[in-house]
Amino acid sequence: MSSNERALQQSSISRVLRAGAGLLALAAASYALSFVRLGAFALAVALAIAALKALVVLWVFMQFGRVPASAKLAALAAFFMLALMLSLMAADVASREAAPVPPAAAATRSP
Amino acid sequence: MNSVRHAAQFQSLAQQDHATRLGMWVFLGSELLLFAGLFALYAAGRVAHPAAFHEGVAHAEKSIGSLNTAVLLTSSTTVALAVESLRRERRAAAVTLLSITIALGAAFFCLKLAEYGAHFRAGIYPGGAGSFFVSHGTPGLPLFWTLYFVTTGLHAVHVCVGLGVLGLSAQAIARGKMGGERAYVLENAALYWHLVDLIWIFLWPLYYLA
Amino acid sequence: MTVASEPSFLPAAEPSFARAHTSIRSWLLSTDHKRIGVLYFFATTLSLALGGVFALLLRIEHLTPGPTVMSAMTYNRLFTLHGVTMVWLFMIPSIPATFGNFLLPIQIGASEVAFPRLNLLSFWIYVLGAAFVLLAMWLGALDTGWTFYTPYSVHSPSAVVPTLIGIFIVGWSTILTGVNFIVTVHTMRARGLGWMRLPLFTWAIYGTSIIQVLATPVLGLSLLIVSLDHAFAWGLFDPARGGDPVLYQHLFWFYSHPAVYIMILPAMGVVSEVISTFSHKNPYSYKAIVYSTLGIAFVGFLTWGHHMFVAGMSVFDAGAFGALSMLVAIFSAVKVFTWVSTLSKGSIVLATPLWYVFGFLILFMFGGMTGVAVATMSLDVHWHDTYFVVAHFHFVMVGGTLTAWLAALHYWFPKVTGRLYSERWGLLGFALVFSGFFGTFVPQFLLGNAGMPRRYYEYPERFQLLHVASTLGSWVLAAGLLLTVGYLGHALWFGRRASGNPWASRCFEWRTSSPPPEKNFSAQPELGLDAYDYTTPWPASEERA
Repeated sequence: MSSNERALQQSSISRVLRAGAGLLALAAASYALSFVRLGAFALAVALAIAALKALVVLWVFMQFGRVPASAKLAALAAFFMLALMLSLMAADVASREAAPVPPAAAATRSP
Repeated sequence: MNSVRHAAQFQSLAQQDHATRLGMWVFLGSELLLFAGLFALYAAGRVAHPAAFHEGVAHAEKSIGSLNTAVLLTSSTTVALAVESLRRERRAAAVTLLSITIALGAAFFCLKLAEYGAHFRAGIYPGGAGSFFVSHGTPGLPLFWTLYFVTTGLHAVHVCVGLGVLGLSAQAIARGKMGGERAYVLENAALYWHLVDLIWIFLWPLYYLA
Repeated sequence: MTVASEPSFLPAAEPSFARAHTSIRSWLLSTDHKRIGVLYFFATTLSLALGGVFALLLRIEHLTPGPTVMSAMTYNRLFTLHGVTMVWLFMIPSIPATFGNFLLPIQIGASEVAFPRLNLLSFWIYVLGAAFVLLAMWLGALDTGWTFYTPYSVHSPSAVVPTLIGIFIVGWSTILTGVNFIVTVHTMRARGLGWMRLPLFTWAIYGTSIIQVLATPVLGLSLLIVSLDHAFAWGLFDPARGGDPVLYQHLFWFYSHPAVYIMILPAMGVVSEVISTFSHKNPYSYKAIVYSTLGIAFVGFLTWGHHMFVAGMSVFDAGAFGALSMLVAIFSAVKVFTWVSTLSKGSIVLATPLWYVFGFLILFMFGGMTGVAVATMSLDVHWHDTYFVVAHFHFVMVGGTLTAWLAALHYWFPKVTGRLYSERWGLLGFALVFSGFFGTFVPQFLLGNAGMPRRYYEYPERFQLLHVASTLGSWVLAAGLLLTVGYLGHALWFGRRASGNPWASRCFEWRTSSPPPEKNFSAQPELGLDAYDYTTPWPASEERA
């Protein structure tokens, strides 16, 4: 093996190790932040860090950048469907109004 | 060097590599969609019962869940290292790293079981059964916990399948049947394990942190 | 002008795929995609027959307004079983797993699919799932309707869980087949066969496979949760326990709407093939067909809420889904215009496959237009859960998919069996099927519009005439289908031998013998000449008399 190839291989091992360390660091940060009173932002922050970790796993471990274009398309399509499902279902629950009460029933309803 | 003959239906090993790799990614897409509904149910549930979901997270076994996160992230690292080792024909290293990965996965599973035990002792059962829900009557709280059990349960099933696949891979490598130009078989097994990790990466904040 | 010199019929130097090995084991454990296609054909056709018997019984019950031949509980179970059997055991695999399996590798010049052993496993998974559904029938079946709406499905004291397990298992067969076909089209094409030269049936199967892979897991999850709710009272979809039944419908229809495109896309692929072959003309616009196929596959995922307009979904979502639902019809319309334009000025040969395609064009158009109508919320409020909806989906599923399945059956019968069927019997069969279909389902549009609800055991006297008409129609339809089984079965043994290309088609499967040899081609196939190039003359022996 040429020294070029060896260097490339070494860099990929250290890439994996650095990614692993980074993941654990991100997890530690998320854990620490979960004790801070962030109110409404707590979930958003936690999910944002999770998304970062996911990108690291996808890019470095799963080598998403180097898979065939067809495989990339498959993964993106699946993710798109997940997002579609999630948003329209959450939107349904979020936008439901109380059913309108007919006038007769309203009159007999106790205050 | 082990035999590098490709399966009969393919013209070359490169074609076989491309096909199995694409097949694995398409399959992972379908697995993502299997969990998608559970994430959607969580989102809808959280929108409908924000207080109950917040309360649910507050009662989660945060230490166990977080330890499990560290365990899975480490196991993803070790399996990625195993793949790198196999690419370099370092078979012994690959088997060792795979064994560590499997041990970590098994640890995750045991921790999960212990965690379920803790829930049961606290009176938290799926379906809103258990004494816990008698004293904690927030509407939507049983929904949170049932979703938790179904989601983490389905995830745990996938952990077991992943362990099986990794175990078979380790065996094949140790017997000299996998390596070099056939390293992509381990890569595909590792992809499955990384998906298991990815799912947990999102489960952790949703059920334990916020 | 050059004359193509490649032979379309290679002398049978090797035995056909059916004669290569003859033991039962060689059939049941075969990894040959052609044999697996034949196995699926028999399994799915048996399911069609079973589902058809259920339908005939339902129609007999409806001959009178009150009880006729069965109790209300039996009626509920029968309409549920009819739906379950037809949708999952017949419609979904009917064209992809049978004709798709047989033809896909041949149409791309390959000798096999990418994963032959996975293919065999997929078949036996289907059989296992079907066995569970049959077991559930034996255990007393279920009465929830094929949609298993909660909370009733969670509480119904019937064989809910075994049925759902069966469908869950069949779903895995669908997913694995989808993965197999996607990878096959991406990686196993013959050299020189680019994407925009693929046969249109291949494109249709490819689009279908994408839907199968992305949608079916969602069904699996929703049925899993209902099973848990039913068995252990976990209440995720049970309002009495804090669950939301509308969310079940979201998950169910997220799969089931794309599922109807799993059913229709392969049918459209068949139509494209038959039209080009029997008008001896290339498609009016190949790209329009390809892009509309992909368009349907994608947009089909955006519309599921139109099944839930009156379920309790928010008005915001209803508006969103109503608007999105209008998009998908555009692609179907593009296809219909392209097909008709292909036929125009073509050199038409009237044969049974083309008769069925004519039937498809009329019935699918009706069905599709009524689909746009029920997807309009203001109209759906009136028609939801009436026979209008029942008629709509039978027009597209029976008038569309089953008709195309019959077209495919006749079109590829010579290729698979090496025999020709009788055109006279074929025409008679078509006449019976088409008129029987009309007689069965047109009255149902009228019934539904007049207010007859679906899944109702009894009905007011004033609806009886239309119900009787529908039942009589069902007998004519059944007669047509039985006749078809009869003359095709006869042709299997006594039909005239077919050449490699009895229809003088340019498509790739016609360039090998009928039936094909085990490895599909006697030599490495040369696919340089286009699948739809009818302008380049072929040797006179290959043109029609």
